[in-house]
Amino acid sequence: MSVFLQFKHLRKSIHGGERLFDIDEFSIPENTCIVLSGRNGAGKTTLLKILAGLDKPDHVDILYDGEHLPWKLAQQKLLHDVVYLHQQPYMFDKTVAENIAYGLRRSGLNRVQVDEKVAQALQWAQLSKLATRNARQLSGGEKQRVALTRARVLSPRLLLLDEPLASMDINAREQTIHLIQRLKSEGVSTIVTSHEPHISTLIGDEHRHLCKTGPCRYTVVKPFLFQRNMEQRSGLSKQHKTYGSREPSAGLTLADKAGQANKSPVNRSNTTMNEHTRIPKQQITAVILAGGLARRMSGQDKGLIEINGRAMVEHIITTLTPQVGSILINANRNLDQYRRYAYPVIEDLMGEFFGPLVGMASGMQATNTDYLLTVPCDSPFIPPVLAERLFHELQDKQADISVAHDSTRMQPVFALLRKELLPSLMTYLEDGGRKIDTWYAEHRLARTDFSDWPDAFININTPDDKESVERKMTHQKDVHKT
Amino acid sequence: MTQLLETSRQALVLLFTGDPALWSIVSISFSVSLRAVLIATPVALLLAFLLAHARFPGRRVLISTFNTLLALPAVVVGLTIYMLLSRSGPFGDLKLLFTQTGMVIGQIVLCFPLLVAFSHATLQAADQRAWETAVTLGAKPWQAMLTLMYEVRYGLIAAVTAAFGRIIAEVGSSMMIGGNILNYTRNITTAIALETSKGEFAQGIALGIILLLSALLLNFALTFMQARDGTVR
Repeated sequence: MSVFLQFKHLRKSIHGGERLFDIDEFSIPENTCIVLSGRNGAGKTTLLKILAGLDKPDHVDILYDGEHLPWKLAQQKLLHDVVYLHQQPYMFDKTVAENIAYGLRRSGLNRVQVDEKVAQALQWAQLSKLATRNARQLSGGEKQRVALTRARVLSPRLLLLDEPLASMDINAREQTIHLIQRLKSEGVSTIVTSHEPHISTLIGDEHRHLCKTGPCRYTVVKPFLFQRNMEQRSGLSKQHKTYGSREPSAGLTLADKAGQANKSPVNRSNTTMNEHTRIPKQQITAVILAGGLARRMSGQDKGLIEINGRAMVEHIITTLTPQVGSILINANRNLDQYRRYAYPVIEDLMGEFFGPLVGMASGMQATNTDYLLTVPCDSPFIPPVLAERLFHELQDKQADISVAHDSTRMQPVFALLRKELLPSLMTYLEDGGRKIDTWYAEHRLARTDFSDWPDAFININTPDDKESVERKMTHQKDVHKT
Repeated sequence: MTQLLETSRQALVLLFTGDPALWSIVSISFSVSLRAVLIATPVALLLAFLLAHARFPGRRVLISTFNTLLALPAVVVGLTIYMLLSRSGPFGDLKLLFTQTGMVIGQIVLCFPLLVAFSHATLQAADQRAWETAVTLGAKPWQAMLTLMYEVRYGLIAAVTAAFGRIIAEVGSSMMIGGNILNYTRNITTAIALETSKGEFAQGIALGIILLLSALLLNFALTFMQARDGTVR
């Protein structure tokens, strides 16, 4: 999968001189669908228009098929190879067939060739019945289909869809999604902007988020530090057909493994199942939240506090390793010390010590598994059944977030979250939200009972806590020995 | 009152008996004004488009100027062009004073600001997406411009109609530049002025009726076209 178009040092200000973007690099690989999210005003549309050659950036270095091009030349190429579709597509005041023929007529083809291509395209999009209708009189979904077809007949290399699914009913959405998938299978790269968290799993190979990290600076968060392999990709594309199905691996049994998993349309991905826990272990990434300030421990980095000779984070890693597929450490200080544990260490993607939600978001955008398990770095007695139980509850309740509960209180940082929540989380954070509970409340929440694990949520906040934990840990070991 | 009715009856008789003098006057009127509009429209549309979509220094000043020129009195245009074309004027050698060409020039000057101002308003209000869609689908800038004009054609046709209405009904500039020469530069409005001063009201009213009828026909045609396309219900 080679990159054919690369925008470097892309800068664009809006009137008044406010800097809208300052993007180091934005690359577009061939035959890929990128979902671009970001809240209103983040500049999604402006970015698309620049990519389409419709809007001029203040500065950009363009590499097109490996060739450096000045803007004027690049713009010509972009106008030819890229088609931009408005959120509400514009229909020329002509018939559907004439609309589809618009680009072809101006591409030097003769009348016969144009008519032939239009007829084929109409059939492709099942629009033949509407061919002679005035395109302005169509419904929103039909207009979207005409617009997609009108773009497709030109065989663009890149198709930019601005919120193609906004304000559409369920049928129109399904048809549109279907068309987008077909375009992808024909080798057209697409960029789709969307507010909706779930879209990326339906059509996207990659998810990028345009985010506001300061008063006037925007960056592109580049997701997926760990590239998914091609096998997984093919597994995911099977799942595309099940739009709207939200009962993924709940009914999965061992029989669904490997080969069969690919055929099963309900399967989210071809994960190997853990025989004992029957949870898709490989699809869970644990993130240890060690990014806090630890004010009550006089600023000492909690994850590195030694308990019985080993750092707290080490104890946690030991308990988590059998439970999940991969582990990340979220830290903002003493990074080198954390790196010694040989797990990826990720810093907060925004702000300064904004709290655990930012740690979760950072974890989510750095991973590519379907689920994210979060644990704090200061609770050494994590139950060995944490991931399993949270996962089952998540499936049973068809929830977005499964959170631990100790019979009296919710323990929000012990949670299992679906990866698709990232855009929603980013939007919440960018709007200034910092409270876990408030953000959780926006989603389907499953409370998972851990009252039979009384020590699970003991955490170390003061030097006294440390001592009692050490005693307890020694005691536990003695119990195990006897 | 009875006098008015009587003269109107005479006017209708004149119209339907095909009085050659009367129809010659009518044809001069239409030929001059149509030529003026046909020459002025393409240039005005192009300028209006640039004012609406290009960004260049002096753009706003130009827009204000054309809006102001809407209020230009026909006699002032007549006077100015008379001075320019008269024997002693800078363009006296062209010998255009008291010719139809001279009248056409006067009428172009009269209708041009109106065409520009109205077309500019229409193109300015056009859906920005139309331009972007055309361009992203591979249209060259001039093709996209034509597409955009097609999309707002009713607004542009209305501008042309208004421009035609203004110059076919003006009297000041035609009188001064054309000189009201029978069978050559006497058009409907100058004829009405003359007949009225002579007390020949019947012919004046007949000509007035023709002016009104032609305006009515034009507007009917426009509305009919839009109704057929489904934009007016």
